[in-house]
Amino acid sequence: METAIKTYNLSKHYSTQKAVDQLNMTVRKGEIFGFLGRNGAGKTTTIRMLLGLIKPTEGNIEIFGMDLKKNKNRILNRVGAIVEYSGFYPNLTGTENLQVYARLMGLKKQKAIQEALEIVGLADETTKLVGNYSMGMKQRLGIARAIMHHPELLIFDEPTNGLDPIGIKEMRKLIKKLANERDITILVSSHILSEIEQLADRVGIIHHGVLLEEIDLKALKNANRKYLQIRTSSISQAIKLMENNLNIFEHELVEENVLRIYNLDTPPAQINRLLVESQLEVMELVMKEDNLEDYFIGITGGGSIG
Amino acid sequence: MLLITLAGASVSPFINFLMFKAIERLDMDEVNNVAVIDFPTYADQTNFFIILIIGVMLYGLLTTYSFSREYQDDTLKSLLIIPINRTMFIISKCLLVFIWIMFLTIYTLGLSMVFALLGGFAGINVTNILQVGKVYLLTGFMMFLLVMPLMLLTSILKSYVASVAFTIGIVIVNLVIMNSEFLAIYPWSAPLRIVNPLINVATFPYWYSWVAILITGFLGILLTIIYFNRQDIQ
Repeated sequence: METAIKTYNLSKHYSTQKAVDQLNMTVRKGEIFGFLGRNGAGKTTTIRMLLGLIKPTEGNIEIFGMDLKKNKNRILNRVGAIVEYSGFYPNLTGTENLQVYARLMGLKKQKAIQEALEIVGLADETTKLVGNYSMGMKQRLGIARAIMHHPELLIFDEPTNGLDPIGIKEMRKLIKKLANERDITILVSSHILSEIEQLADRVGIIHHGVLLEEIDLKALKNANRKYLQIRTSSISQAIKLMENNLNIFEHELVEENVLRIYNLDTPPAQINRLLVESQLEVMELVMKEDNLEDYFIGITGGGSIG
Repeated sequence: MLLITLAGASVSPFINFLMFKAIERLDMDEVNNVAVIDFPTYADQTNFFIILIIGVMLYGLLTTYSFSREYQDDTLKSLLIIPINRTMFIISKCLLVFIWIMFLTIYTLGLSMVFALLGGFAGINVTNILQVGKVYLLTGFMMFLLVMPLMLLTSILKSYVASVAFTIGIVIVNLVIMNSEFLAIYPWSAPLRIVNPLINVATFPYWYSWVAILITGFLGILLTIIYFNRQDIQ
């Protein structure tokens, strides 16, 4: 399998803080790779190192099989990126801004800018200055800038920052469209689990600067454990009853009155009857399965995404 | 921003025009030969103000603006991803500042000629215009070198405040030392000595003034390039 990005013990230290620590990450060609982590986990620092904006303290980066330090210009000519918020010259229109960048890139094709604007839905905004654009429009213009030179790799750092729910949905559709139509490798970082879950083929989870795991989302779905989730008026009594009468010991208390039972040999109806006959109120009894959020919480040691 | 700098460049010719007209009105030029109202003197006085006060502040402002706007508009990281060589980026900014300063210099010269014509000052002929033009262009080049340290300051601090404070400090020192021998070696007043070789600062050779200006300028550019190449773009 060809790799688009590979890092070797990539690290970035600031004084006493390790923003990124011994990161070994692989992004395969043609996939959408979700880079997931809490705020301050090290996602943006890693991405800035991949784009040559920050110098690593240690380690190497290979993109398209080439060392980034020695081949920066050759590599970045084939890469498009949005790093957090997209910055533009507010006194120019969207087209004029893209013309500036096109000139600096040496982009000769006149149609490239128009095509890019059509893809992101900004082709009709011919006179509006970027200073008057909404956040969503600026992010879309950022994507236009990133794709107009037909890169082989797109790196999006928190592309949905500042967008409303409709904007987030549109951004997701756009990214998927780019991946399908242009067969581009896409690395997208986010702290929003649901976004990554809907977009990515594989996910890398970073926590406190350390890459904990790279997982295939399809494989995760297949491997995800099914469980029976129960909410009752007295969980401690429910646990005693199930252990003593049904020999159910494989369970986990997730909230105050919510229990997950992983032993599915006992039919749910039998468990329900036992609890009801013991005068317990059963408020919820439903079959579920682990998702990315559960997996994330499991390997990062709990707490919300931030 | 261009209009603001044009307005700033208009200040010295305009104020000097008013001063010279006032002198004329009070007959100070005819009484005891106190003052000479002619184009070369007027242009020289205008240039004096630019070197001493207005130039540093105005050209310092446009230098700071040309650099800091990339941080303020958050466009710098997008430019560097293109990719643009960081040294070439600094050199292109220097070129922009140079062109802008020379444009303002030519504008000031033109405006001075207009005011001289309006005021009916004597001595507006091709020879004098060429001579004044040479002095103005030389001043513009020296002022360009002298604002290069501001580029370094802006790339470190990324704000207007430090640059404005620095230029105010420069101007204050200019005013304090303008009648002393140190005028010849303090970089930001040294242009006065170069365009007016008759200024009596015999303690220091003429070439000291050039060295002070050239070192300030080239060191400013060099340190900016070194710093910017090492800087992490956050």
